[in-house]
Amino acid sequence: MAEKILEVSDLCVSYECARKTPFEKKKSIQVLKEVSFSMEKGEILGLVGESGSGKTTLARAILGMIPYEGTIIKTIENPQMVFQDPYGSLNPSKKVGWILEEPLRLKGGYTDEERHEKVVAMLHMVGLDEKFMDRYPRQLSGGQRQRVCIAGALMLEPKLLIADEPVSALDVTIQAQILELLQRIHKEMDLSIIFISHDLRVVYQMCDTVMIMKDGQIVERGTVEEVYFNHKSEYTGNLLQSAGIDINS
Amino acid sequence: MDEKHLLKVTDLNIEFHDHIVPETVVYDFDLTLDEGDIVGLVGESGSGKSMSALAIAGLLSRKDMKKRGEILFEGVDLLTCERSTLRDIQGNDISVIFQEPMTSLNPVKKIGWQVEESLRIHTDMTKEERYQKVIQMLEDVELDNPEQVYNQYPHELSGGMRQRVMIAAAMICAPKILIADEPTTALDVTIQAQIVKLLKRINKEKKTAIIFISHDLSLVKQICERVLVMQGGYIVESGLTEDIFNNPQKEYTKKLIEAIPKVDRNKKG
Amino acid sequence: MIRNGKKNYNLIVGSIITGFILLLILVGTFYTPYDPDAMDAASKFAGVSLKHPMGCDNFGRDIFSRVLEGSRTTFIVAAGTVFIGTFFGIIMGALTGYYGGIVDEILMRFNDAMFAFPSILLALLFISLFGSGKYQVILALGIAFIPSFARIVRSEFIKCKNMDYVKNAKLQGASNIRIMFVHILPNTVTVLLSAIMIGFNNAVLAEAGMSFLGIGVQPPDASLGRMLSEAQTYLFSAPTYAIFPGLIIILMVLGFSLLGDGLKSEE
Repeated sequence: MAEKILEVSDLCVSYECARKTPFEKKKSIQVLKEVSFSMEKGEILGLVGESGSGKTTLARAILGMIPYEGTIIKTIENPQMVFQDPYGSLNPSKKVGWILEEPLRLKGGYTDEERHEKVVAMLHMVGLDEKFMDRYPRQLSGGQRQRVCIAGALMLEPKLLIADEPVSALDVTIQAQILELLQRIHKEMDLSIIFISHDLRVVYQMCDTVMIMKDGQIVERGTVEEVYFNHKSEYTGNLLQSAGIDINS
Repeated sequence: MDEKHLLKVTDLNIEFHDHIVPETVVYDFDLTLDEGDIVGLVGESGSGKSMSALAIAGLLSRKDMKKRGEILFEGVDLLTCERSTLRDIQGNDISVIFQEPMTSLNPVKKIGWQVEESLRIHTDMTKEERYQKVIQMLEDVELDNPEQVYNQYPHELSGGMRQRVMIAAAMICAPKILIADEPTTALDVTIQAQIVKLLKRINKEKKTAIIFISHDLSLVKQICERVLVMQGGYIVESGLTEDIFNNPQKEYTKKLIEAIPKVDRNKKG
Repeated sequence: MIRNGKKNYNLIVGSIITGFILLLILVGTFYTPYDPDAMDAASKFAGVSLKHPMGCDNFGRDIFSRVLEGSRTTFIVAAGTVFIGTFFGIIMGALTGYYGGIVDEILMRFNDAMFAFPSILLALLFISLFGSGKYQVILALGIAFIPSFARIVRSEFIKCKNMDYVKNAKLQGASNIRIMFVHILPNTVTVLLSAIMIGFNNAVLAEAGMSFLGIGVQPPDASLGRMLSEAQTYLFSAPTYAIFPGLIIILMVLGFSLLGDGLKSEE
């Protein structure tokens, strides 16, 4: 059995609701209810669910961006994230080169030339060339921005990448290119990926295993084939049917 | 001859004039639409699909945009007719639903008021008649508790409910053409399927012609009889949905169809 | 300067006027035809002539020289005021906007309280405590200007702090200070710039107003407001004494407002 890189057990996350009057009792909504799962090295795990199912919250808890109860054991360092909106996730006032150098600057221990070389290499890796270093995000197309975002997340060579709906804001043909890029990087950089999406077709194409979430709980977890063609829960069937996927074909 | 068709668009060209260099966004757009048709308009962002549809709805500024060609709606050219004629047709005979149900409803007005708006403009019904009609319409789009929804504000509804309200508002004057601009893109899959079903039912029962704009080919395949594929302002291919999916003629159409991720059992080893 | 086929006239005209004023100030720093403070009883109330292009005042001082000197004083006071206001406004706005919570609550209530007083009243209070003079005016107006800048910076920070690129920077391990001043601050520049332009105008007018009331720059120093105040007694005997300083104030304010508007629409 492969090495486990992530083990989540009894994970609970709740948000406090805003009170309408100061006298009202504090109420909280539980977004994740005792979520437990583990992930192996090199796995591409699809995380599927409708809005409000808690998939983004789970990602944030894993990244340590929000407080949680329960345990999350990570055997890898600094997991990185690629966000859905390639327009909001690049600082509009900085050039691409600066954005990509920033993680190296923060980590420290690199000379200016080393940083430059690494950025150029990474741009080539994601299918862009070095002239993009002097461009501002607003001068890039959606697909190019998402490539820059991926490059930024990979600068420190993380072993786990969480991609939160990375292609849902993109056109279909661009979408296909980005998926291809993620698959190539997965192989070349020995990366594990948590791929969050509401698009069941994309998840099928991209992922090895899949986890279906509903109302803060895991409904189903298994390999893509198992879950798509031999699903145990009615909800999964409902999702597949809604997406117009005919499992008998 | 033209009276035969509900809508006939010939050689529509749209040019932007708010820059120094005029920019053409739609070239030689042709479309005929009859009662009860569902036509899909497919393409990537910037392909001109929304522009063409907005031109049909008469929502493009007459000043900044030069348009050539004809948009004949029951024999009236929407590009050259009087503004008052156009206003009569807008909302009454041609309605639009937009992608973002969040921003296409006015956040400070009650649902009932917003659905009633086109009745207030286009008919002289009494208040009571309007109320009855709105309640019936809300029921028609399969909203539970229409009386309650009538008095609610947009933020109290979910995305799917809001899109139903939008459809109710668009359908209240029983338009002959409904333009749906990416109506399900912002919604979850299960809700998406429900909205598509609702649109199909409306089309069947009320014989409303629908122009369905989407970048999602798998969705268009489910709902439309005919498809127009657009790229860079041109119609690259058009025909019956089945023919286009099974036997695409143009490279671009093939590329689009290939880009839909496939779910089939033998994909992986 | 050309966007969407329309020339940005605000920016062009604003730059020209501001450039002219700055040139005037620059020249005045190194060269004035006469000593601005030198009195000459013989040319008391002298009219416009080649010798005195703007005439002379009640002490026979050359008005043109005094306008050059006065514009510089007014400009320095306005620039100093805006600098103090912007510098502390950015720090305060960044901290409150970024952290929110109790710090925000306390500082912003304090801000509100300061906002409730007209800035000139606050400056008055300050002057009565520390005395009047050029530097006191800068300090007084500067402090009075902090809240408005803090408010603008705060709202920009609140907008930016929830953007994905800020989350990304956090994930990469950037410190809060670095996120605030390296990642977020450059994104507030356009809004800040037009605020600075408006603030500058207000400062020019406030200085003129205070000097006019006699609590600003003290004689014999020249400032545009000071000159206006002195001129009011001699409005009929030496009208140029009031007209030219007034004209320069108008040009200064006009130039900077146009420049501010122009920069705003350029974004």
